[in-house]
Amino acid sequence: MSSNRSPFHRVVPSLFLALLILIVVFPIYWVIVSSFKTPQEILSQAPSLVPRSITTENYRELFDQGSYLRQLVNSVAYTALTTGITIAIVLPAALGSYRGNIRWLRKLKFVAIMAFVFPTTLLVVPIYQILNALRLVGTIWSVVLVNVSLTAPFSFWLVEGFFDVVPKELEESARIDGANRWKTALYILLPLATPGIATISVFTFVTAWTEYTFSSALVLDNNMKTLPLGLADILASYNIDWGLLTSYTTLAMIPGIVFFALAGKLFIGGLVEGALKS
Amino acid sequence: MHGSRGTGVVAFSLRKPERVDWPSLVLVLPFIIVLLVFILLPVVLTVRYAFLSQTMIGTGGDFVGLRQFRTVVGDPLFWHSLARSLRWVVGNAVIQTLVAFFFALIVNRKLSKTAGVQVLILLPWIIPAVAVAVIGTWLTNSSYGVLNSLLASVGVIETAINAFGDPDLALSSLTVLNSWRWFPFFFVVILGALKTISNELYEQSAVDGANGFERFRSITMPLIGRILGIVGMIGTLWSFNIFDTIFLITRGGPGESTFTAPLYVYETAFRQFQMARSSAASFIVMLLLVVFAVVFYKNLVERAYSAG
Repeated sequence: MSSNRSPFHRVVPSLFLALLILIVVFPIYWVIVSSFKTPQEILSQAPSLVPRSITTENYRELFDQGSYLRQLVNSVAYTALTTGITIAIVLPAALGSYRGNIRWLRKLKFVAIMAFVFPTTLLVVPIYQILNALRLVGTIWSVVLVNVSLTAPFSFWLVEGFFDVVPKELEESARIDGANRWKTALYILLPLATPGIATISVFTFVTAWTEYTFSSALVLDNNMKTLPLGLADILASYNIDWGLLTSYTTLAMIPGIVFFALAGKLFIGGLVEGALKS
Repeated sequence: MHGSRGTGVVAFSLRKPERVDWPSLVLVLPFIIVLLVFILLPVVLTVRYAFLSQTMIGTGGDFVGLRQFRTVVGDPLFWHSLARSLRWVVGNAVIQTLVAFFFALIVNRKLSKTAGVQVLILLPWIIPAVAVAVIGTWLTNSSYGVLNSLLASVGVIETAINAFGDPDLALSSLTVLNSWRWFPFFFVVILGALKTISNELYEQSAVDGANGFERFRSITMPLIGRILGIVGMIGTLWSFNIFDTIFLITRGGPGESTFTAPLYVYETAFRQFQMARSSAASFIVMLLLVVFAVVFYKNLVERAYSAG
């Protein structure tokens, strides 16, 4: 384990780290690289690691087809709404249950983690029925609300975990200074939970961005489809155009990858901190 | 889990125990409504539908007692799908936990301050399941796939492997693909847990003459055993819940070789339009999962207490 003992102990971890990165990155790299290949090269029996000639024809075909931008806008809208609403629901709830005087609310953290691991795909039918009764099927809100229900329990659990370890002295000294409990919550608790808030924002983004199961049942109108739904349509076509499919996949992955490259570090810090606290 | 509350709060609530705390209730209400409408109510409705004759969305149904349950229990496909889900869950939980743990142990020291590498490693988790499906089918394509051509060029195989089209391989291939998507998440969590173990502990025991394995057994395992247990349980329930990757690649086929319990529930409802029967199946599966979670959690908690 010690890194300062022998060359063996220094080299082996590096090799395995390289292997790990290869396992994770190569499949993604391969799809991206395929999207820049000519139709002949894509369908050659001896694939090349680097394209012999780079073409953007697949991308031109993709944009000619015209549904990508529409679906990108939809995905961004669904994701932004889900993230905003989840935070707007979870933060007050975490403060209320933590700072409130209602005994049973303190069990909510346990309920939340149970709700989070609950196999929701078993509930597709009744959730569809409920949204149908609310006349929301076919609207953007059906997907957003389902997404919120998928992300809120974990987010609540994580944020409460951050509150739990706030030093009591901090709050008490604020109270002695005359701040009421909601003021202390706002000025003392919330700032300390910032890493948790960053983490749940990224978690919510990723969940909404990648969601397929529920939206495939809830969204039937082509104009309202998200990137995963559009991609699934191409994947399900009888004669798959691999150039189109790989370029579409690339463009469906890139926005999430860019977002995560920017916010991923915040996410990891808060996730690990929160998970270990709870 | 929800232990440490401030003494200030206790004093506060002792002073005014009789008043309802309306501000707190209002703050928590939207979250509770979400839980009630999208988790509790669906579970209740599942139970209700399971006793009805209703077959289509929106049409009423008569109470038919246990008829739907009898149909489901008498359907061999249901039991096959459950057995397949068991294989799926065990395969996924074992591969994901072991691979994540293995890599976390080995690269622990290499990743001391490099969150950037962890961001890279989490990539499979942040791309849509549909993209994962494309990646899986494209890499293993039997005519143009890079994996087949690599294996053929080093002489491991002679004829191309049809990873998702061969009934004997499809479920295993999906397990590997799904594990590829999810193990990075557990890797990051386990790595975080390993980082909480102070170096001094290891150095001290090295001075005491403990070898690598002894240190692993006496320091690492006791300290992160609980995290591993929780990761294992969450991983199990999550992978049970996986629908998209399987549905998108094989739709349960070829034959019924990848038809797991969530697909049974989904297809019975949305392809056969047997909502009531689907609800009965869903209810049985939920009961089994609850039993699993309770048994697992109890053992875990008890072991954690007896260990510490």
